[in-house]
Amino acid sequence: MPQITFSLDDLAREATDYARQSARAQQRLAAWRDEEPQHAHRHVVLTRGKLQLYHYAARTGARAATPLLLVYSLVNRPYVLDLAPAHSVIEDLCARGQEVYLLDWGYPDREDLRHTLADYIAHDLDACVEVVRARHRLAQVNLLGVCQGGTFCLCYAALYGTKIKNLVTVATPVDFHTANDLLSHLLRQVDSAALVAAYGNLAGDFLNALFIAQKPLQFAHQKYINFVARADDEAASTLFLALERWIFDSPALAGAAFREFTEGCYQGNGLALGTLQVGGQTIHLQDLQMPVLNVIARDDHLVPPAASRALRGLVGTIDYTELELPAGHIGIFISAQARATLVEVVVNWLAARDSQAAAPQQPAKKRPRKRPRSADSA
Amino acid sequence: MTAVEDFFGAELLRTWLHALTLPSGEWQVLPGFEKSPWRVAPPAADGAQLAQFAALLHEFAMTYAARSDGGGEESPAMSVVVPALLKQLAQQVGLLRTALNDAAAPFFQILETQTQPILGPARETHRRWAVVARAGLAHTRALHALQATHCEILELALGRFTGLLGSAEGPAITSARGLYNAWVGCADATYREQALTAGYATQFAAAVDTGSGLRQIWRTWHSATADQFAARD
Repeated sequence: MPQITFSLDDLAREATDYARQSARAQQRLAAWRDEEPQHAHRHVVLTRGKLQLYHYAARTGARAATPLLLVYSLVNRPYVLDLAPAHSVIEDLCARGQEVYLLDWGYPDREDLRHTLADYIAHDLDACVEVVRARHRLAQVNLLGVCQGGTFCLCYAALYGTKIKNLVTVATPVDFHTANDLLSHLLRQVDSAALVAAYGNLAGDFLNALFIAQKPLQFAHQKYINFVARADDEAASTLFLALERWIFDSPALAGAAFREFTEGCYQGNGLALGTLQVGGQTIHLQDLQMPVLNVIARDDHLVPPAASRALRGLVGTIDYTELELPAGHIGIFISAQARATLVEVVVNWLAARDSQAAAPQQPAKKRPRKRPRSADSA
Repeated sequence: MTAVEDFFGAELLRTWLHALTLPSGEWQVLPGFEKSPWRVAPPAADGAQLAQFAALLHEFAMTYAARSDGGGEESPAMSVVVPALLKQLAQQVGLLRTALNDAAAPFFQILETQTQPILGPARETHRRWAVVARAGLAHTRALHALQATHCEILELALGRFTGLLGSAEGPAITSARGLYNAWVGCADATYREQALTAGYATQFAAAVDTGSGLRQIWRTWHSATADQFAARD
């Protein structure tokens, strides 16, 4: 066994250190204020049912010409984008002159059981876009969607392209049938209609179990060992606890929307195949004529890079940019290096397009529809 | 059974749980190893077992002292400890599988009994209950099958981990954390390979779907029963 080079004495020292760090970790946990982070720089500009739209004002003199609306997934809360002053994509964007709006879907309950994808995309998201347009007296806004929020933005922009100047998607699934997509694979045969009939809205715990099932030992055990091992590092411990709180601050998913998304995307792969229906309208990604920036997390365990990369061959625009960052699904917003690169690229990419004169909206060019080259749909 | 194998036996778990509840400052020096960093927890209520544990630890340390060459890249003592650890892990997986089957068997039997038709005045009530029992049986069987697959995955992962440790290739493992991380990486990679098969997706869906079915039937039964009692009021 030539690989193992530590002795029993080393083991004893390590165990002693671990016992000490364990006590320290318990102190950190006991002192932790388990509450949603404070967001000093935002205020509510729209309340619509459970939904709230927040405005974060630009914090420099040179402001971007077009405001940026951020749309997060229905799964988990959007405050991961503004987790703490030192870990805030939104703060970084505001510091670079962006007028940022954040859509918070809230916590669905019994009365949202029948809330559909059309309700979320064609009504709620559209209401937010309208508010931003009205507040800035602009015909078009910039849209940035994250994960499922990115999928929603793609659908919205395909339906209401005239209202969107530039579209940014981050860690966004497009082709749900790529070879290594375990989340999609696990949901592929599940009877979502029966699930919703039995449970109603899908509990956050069910979704968390699915996410933990991506890497069970790492997510259910190893990360806590790592927390103990880094307990002496106050900043790292604080960040871990903030993220841990966020991960399990999981709203339920409205039953109807869950069923539509599971059947339409995870099972039917409708976004990539051009068969996804939102409120009776089919989503054709080639209808996306605005500039598109697609940011991919290289180490994403929930949205495989190939699932995002599929967008390149499906959009109608000729102004398509792709950026791949060496980060995971959440790390792309948390890792200082990845976040800095993300903000830098987004701000510069938007600025380059904001400086161009607003061209009259062209009718969508119809391109031959392509089937995505994914393992399962091939 | 060698002292090392015994060290990783059932006594370890019992006494270690006790030891973990004590502040490390209360742990005692191992006789004969005053300069060593090893410490043992003092005897508590369960003194005899702890004394036995201390004796085992002492014997283990002696084994280590006798085998250690005091340097070099490979620790001879670890070449004894790690196989013993792997053997224990394999035994635990075996026990898990046995426990899974032993616990499930009588439960299946009870549920199956409930699904059989009966005669007499309680027949209709029993018939309604049998529908719930059948759904419960289907869900329990589906969960059992999925858990059995998890046991198989664990065995596969253990085999792969054993192979990894026996291989001369790859980076050196320089700490217990490194060893643990290697195990986690190995186990999660094995799980992922298996979970991505069509068979696993079918088993997973069956576990979810039969759960949905059970809940739906239970709700119907509960609602019908509540209606029945409300009518009597």
